[in-house]
Amino acid sequence: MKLAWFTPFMRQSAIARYSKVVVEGLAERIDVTLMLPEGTPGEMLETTAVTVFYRPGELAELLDGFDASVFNLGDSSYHFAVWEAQQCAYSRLHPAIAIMHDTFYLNFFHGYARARGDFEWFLDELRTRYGRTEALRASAAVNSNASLAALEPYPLFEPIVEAADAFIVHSDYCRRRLRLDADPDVLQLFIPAEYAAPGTDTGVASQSVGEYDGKVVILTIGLGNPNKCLHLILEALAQRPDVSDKVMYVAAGEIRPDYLASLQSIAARHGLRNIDLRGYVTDVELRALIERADICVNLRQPCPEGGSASLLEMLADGKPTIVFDDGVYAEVPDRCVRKIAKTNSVRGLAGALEELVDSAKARETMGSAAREFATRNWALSRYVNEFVDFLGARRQTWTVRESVRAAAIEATARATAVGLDREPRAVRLLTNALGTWTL
Amino acid sequence: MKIAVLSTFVPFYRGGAEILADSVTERLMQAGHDARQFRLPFAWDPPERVVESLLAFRMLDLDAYDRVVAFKFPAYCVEHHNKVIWLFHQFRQAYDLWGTPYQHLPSGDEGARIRRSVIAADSACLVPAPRLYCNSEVTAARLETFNGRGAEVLYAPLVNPEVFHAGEYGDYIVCTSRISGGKRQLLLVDAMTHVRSNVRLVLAGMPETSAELERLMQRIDALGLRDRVHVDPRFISEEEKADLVAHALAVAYIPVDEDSYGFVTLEAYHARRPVLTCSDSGGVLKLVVDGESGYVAEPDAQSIARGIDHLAASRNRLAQMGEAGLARATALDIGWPAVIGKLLA
Amino acid sequence: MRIIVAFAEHDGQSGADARCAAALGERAVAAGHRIELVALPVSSSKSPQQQALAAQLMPFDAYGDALWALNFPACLLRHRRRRIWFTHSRPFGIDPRAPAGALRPLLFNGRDGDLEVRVASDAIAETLGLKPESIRGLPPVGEHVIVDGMAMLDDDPALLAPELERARNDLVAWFDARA
Repeated sequence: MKLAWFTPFMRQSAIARYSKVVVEGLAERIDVTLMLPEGTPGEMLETTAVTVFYRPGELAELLDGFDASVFNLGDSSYHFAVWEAQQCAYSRLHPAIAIMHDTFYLNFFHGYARARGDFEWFLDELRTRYGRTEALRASAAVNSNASLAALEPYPLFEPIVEAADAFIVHSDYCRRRLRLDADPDVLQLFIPAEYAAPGTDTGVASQSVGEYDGKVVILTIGLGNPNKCLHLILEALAQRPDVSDKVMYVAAGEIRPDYLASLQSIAARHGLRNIDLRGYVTDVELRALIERADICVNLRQPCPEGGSASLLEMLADGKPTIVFDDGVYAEVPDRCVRKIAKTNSVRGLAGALEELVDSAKARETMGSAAREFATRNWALSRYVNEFVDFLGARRQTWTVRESVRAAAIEATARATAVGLDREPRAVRLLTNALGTWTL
Repeated sequence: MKIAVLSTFVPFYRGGAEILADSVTERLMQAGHDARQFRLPFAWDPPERVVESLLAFRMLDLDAYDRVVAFKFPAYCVEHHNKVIWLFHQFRQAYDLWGTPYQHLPSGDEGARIRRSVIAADSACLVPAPRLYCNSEVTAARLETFNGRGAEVLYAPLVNPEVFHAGEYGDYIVCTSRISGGKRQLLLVDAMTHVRSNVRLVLAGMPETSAELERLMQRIDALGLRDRVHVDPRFISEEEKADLVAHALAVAYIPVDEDSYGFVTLEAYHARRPVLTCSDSGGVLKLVVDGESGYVAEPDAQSIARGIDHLAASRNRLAQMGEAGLARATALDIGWPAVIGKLLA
Repeated sequence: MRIIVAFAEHDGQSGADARCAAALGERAVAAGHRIELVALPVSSSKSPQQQALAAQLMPFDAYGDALWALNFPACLLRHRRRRIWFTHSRPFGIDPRAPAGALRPLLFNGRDGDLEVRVASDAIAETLGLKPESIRGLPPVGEHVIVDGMAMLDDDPALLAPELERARNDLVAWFDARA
């Protein structure tokens, strides 16, 4: 089995880190090649995986050298090249496995349309999926940077799903949101726990977190925006001054400027002092912060993610983590995470923080359970083995598709040689005849 | 060599082209080659089937064969690295019949598109074909006119020339082609009302339709010619035909604008009979030379009758005319050695 | 009746299918029918999809009263009245590009016209996915498929002759009864 793996691979991408770990794990069992577009800006992760830097014009031919390709799709511009590669595969009936890291792609496709100057396609897709009226609403909403909640009825994952032969999802929630419940070509796995932010020289890192000594450190990680509900943490701490005195809340990860201003305003209004809106941190610093953290908070509203790499990191490190009882988070056992309801969330969060801040034992118990759960269910070896078995089972379908594809290419060449490629009836006849062969 | 002889056919119908394709296959095998014939249908009714049939032939796989021999559209469109085309028929509806009542393709865009597909296929398959022969000057002229490609003429010989033999010259003119409007048996019957000599007319062959036969018989009755015109409306075996021709005074063959000289003409000459034909019979005139190997009449009843009377009065020259016709055919290389030689070259 | 008897000729070699078709044809002529034997040239170096393509496009449905087809890809020729006999399951079960069950939707697509299928053995029916329960998710074949228990015809002429004799008497009589 020769597999091509398409993914973002820059340092700041969590999916890149996921890909590094999985590809290096898969390489022990199958022939897998990391495929990265030539000239991608940004610093790349280092890896032992076989890597090919491809030019887009060469991709079609390169794909012919693989049995199948994996496409990591997430809701960010980092995945534009991956989407283009998937389309190339689709056009050649090359077997495509989509790893759906998110369930919501409207912003992704809007950004892609803007970057490529092709709104026609984007609007067409909206009209096809949601009807003319809703398409106008969706288009207006995304153009005006509306909240995720307003955009939720228009997830626009369909183009990706329709261009894939098989899927990897990391939660039941993701499977349901993508309407893949009854689809047999779906492999549902937990994200492997073995990946960790690079930079394990915690000796150096610990110096940067020294000023938190004596405090219970509450940590959030990732790009800061309203979806991450950092403001709720400040509101909750404001409700519990006694708790807020004992803790240091650290937000690690770049925060959107307008949102940062809003958070600073809340902190100032409530006179909160033990707040470190740290912003961007290096991988080494992030690792150190995670190790130092006593409690993690991983709230998402809404929850479009197909799987949470950040949650995974927190649980694998044995951190008691507070989450909403929603989406992928609801699938983690109650003993491993502290779940709060989405309604009255500030009060719920305040209560949860108080429980965990006041009891080291509670933190210890939950943290141990979390680590044990992550290690048992999210082991890389399990992930790799199930992944490889899944590919093996799908292989016969791809062999058939390959022969349908080869027949289509040869038939087209024969028809083209006598000018029949321009004859609509001929194209229809061939398509119908070969189409009956696709399983 | 492994050779695939590829024909189009209409299942359950067997005409001259089908018989010839069988003969080609047999002659190739006699020449020591492993030849097989593949007969696959070409449907053109409704007209959309033209494209379907063309595609079907394009998708055929004859890689196991060293050479492919093909005769008609769309069989000659098959993909093969070593193809020889002996062209009997293009799809005339796209060419000389286009714009006539015999076009058979719909008017408007649909018909125009099908026509374009046929022309494009011919441009791709016929025009560049390294080994391309036509069965007659008429076919070659059409190819030149419509597709800009010249081709050598390779004449079709009789399937079994040895069956035809010379007998005594009897008292009847025989016509052995199928009974149809295009073969003009009606005109022969009309001519008989003007014939003065004591000559009968024998018409033996399968009627194209029962209506054609009905019309013929009614004309014979109307003209009171029952005792002078004998009709045998059925498929005649080669042996029966050979016997009829062997004892005829002469053979009449007066089709309208025929593509080629016709097997009827060759059969006559192999039996050393002169041929009566008309000035508008097209390819027949390739072999029939007035006064030398037969009589060329104007296409009207009186002229044809004069021809019959002339031949009846020329008994001492009948064998000579028959021989002259055969010599002309030989000079034109009409024979199986020439055909097999070209197809294998 | 005017019956087209179709079979495949593989890689330029006349094989058991050709002999079987000829035997069927002879028997049918003896029973008073008119027969056209049709050989489809097939190259085994091509995928089953390519082998089938020409068959799927051929306009046989315009001609004759019935079409009798032996095996693949002749079984894919279109006709309003088809009788198909599978004496073997090639290339299915051998060629990985021809998976079990792929043939069934092609044979029974839309259930157009009058179709009956005979299969020489259970094993062949299994490989071709023609057993009622063998393939999940595909429409049932119902009474349209009969496993007749006739031994698989072999390329060995010594084995072939008695089986063909049986075919002449038994199978054509079966076809006749459904004419």
